[in-house]
Amino acid sequence: MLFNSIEFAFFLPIVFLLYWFLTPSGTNGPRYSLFRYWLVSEQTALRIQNAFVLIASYIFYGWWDWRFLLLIAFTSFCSWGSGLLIGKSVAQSVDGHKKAKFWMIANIILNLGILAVFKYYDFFVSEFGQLFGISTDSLLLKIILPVGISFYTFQALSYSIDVYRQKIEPTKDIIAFFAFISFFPQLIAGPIERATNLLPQFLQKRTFSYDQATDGMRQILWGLFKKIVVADNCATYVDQVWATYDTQTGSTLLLAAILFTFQIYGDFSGYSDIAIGTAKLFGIRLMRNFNNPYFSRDIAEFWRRWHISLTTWFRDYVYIPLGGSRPEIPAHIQTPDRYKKWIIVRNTFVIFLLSGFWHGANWTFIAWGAYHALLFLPLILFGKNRKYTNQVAEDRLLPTWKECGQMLLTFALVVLGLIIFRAPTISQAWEYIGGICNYSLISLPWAESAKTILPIPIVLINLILFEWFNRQKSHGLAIQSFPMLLRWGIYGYLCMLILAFGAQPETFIYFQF
Amino acid sequence: MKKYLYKCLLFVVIACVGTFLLQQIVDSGLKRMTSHSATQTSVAELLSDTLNADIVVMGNSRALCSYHPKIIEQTTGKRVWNIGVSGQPFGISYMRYHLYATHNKKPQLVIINIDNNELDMIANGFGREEYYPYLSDSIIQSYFDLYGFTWKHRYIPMYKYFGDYKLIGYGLMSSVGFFPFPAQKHYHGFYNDNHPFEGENMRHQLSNDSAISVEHSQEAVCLLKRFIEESQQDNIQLLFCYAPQYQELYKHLMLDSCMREYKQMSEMYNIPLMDYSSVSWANDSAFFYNANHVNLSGSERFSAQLAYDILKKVNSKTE
Repeated sequence: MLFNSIEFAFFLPIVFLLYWFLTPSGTNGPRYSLFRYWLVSEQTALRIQNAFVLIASYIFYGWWDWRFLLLIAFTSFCSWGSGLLIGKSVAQSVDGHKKAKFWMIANIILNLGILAVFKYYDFFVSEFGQLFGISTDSLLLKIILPVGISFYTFQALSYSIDVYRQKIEPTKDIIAFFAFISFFPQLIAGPIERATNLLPQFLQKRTFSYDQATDGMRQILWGLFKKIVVADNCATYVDQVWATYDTQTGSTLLLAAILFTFQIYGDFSGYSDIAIGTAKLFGIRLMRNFNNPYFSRDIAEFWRRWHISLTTWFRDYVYIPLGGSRPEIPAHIQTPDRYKKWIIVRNTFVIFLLSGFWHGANWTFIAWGAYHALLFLPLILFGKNRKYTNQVAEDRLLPTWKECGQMLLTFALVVLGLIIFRAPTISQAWEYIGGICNYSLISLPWAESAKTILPIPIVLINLILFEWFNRQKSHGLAIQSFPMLLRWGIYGYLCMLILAFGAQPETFIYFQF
Repeated sequence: MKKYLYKCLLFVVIACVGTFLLQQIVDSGLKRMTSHSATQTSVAELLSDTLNADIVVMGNSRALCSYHPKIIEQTTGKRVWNIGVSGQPFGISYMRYHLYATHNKKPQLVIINIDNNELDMIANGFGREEYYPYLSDSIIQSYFDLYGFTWKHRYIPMYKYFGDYKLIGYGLMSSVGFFPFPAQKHYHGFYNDNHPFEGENMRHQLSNDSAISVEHSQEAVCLLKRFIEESQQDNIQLLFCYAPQYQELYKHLMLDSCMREYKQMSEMYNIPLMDYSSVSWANDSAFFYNANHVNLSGSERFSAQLAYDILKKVNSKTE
């Protein structure tokens, strides 16, 4: 089920009402519960609510393909079981740690194994075949990629690793755990939640908060605007240009590359906003996934603001265990500075390449990761990677000329990287970039019809203005402090933009990952 | 929670009422624009109760540009209306005729244009938006599937206009008395001009096997038979007519099975079949603006010949 579908517009209110009215009375929320006269304990009521979340999430996912529910259930069960085994092993004094490590590694291998089969097997087999000139057609599985597999697999992994690290107690509550893995707002495209943040929320009573729920609704509206208006309008143009890129002028190719940068942002951050907003309706707080990445002044800042849940996942579970930027230096090393730099370079490349590869089984994603590693490396080597940790123009209305230049340069670098990301193959990415760099760059860009191109500047101006003026806040429509009439006027305005400029619904880009 | 539900409900009510009212305004604005399609009979005209023709021409774009009502009227003395529609298969032609027939007097004669594209049911969506203001019409509803309309288009306010800022704008402008569409150009549903011949389309068609291998849909054949039976019950005379097609293309079209269907129906229902596909001047590109469509000179020439033949047929019957 897509967030931008009519089905979801019916599904969400039904689930919302049942969710809150299934709980016994006594919360801050509904006083008229279906279970008002049931003599159930608070714990039982919580279980009923979690079971309901689980059913709703499975319906949500099964709407796409019910067969893959078994896969989620299997992943959830294995991770839940491994958590218990890790916890039990840690509690044992003799050899406990070794056993715990064994169960953790077993769970990692199992989860990554499933991911590898579904996502990477065909890629490796065909690449291997090409390398040695062998026909591998008969070996290919050609199975469809289960939607959201990369997201929920990483979430499941975070649980067993955190239990092993004793950051979280293993839970015996299987329903709560299954609900944590499959919580429908973030099941398909994140944010990739940590067990330490999300799981405890399923183990304690949720209370309805008016402010949280209204903010959630605002965030959903903002997400819908970004997806339906910004991303889908850009997608129409971008897809047309990419389909015929070899015959297009430089200016057209450049425009399409810029619009793809907005498309992917609108698409993915729009999804995240809807997911976070929806979770708020259920009294659950998800982590922020995007923090105005296109207002970044350098690439390091960009990566602190882009797909935060994935970058912090790799930071916490890969980069830091590898030594991060402060690796331990063995005593026998005679040139510790050089060794340290080498480890930093290695670690930076490892996480960026992995991050790229996480997106899909294609060399373009790996090249995209490597490209960003190369941009990031000088900053980390010269200790400049944490130069900009605050918001741009924090105490000013407008940025300085220098900041404008920095933001434009960072944006241009991101645009270039996303050409590699969007291209079907690396050679096509090169051709595309080559197509931009010629005399036809100084010409008017092509457009199939005025109808497809006209809405784009209007919607982009709206996007940039809303995000700029709310850059200190949790999302682009955090306008709770505005007077009521103005707020409702803005809601109406955004609804009108969606109605008038909404493009034909396209699936979310990150579903394929 | 109570306050929250109340506000959500208020928002939904405002949104529903607002979109419903907006839809009413846009619908009424678009309905006022009778010249929505400046070059062919608009839906508004079909529903206007004012066409009342003696002879009706139905079919696709070839019908639209080939049958010149003025020329046929001059010869036959009958009022002629061309309800042909660009780029559409028989299902849509039938729907348009159905709309015409429920709002106008029954014609004496219906000329059914026949060719390689008519016996098809797949609508390409071209001109679909013209039907938006009329989705509550029961006849249009019975053809919803052809254009891919669903219950959502019918019942969810503004769903049908979603993302169509141009149409919303036109509807709003028209509702306040400003008509952004060009003035009506057609005469009784017919419009053509003396464009020079353009052969690119033909070259593309000839290089594409699927474009010259003519296949027809049995569903369309059934619908045509239904139409014939209904018309004959109403004592309406029918005529199958193949309008001229540029010979360079025509000779490559694999029309056998398609023409066999038409001939069978012609014999079965006793419908005259007039084939002008290979008239002597169909070799001359001066009468065509592309291989499938005659230009104004071609249509005048063809219509004169057709009108004469119709008159001859009528006279021979009366004698």
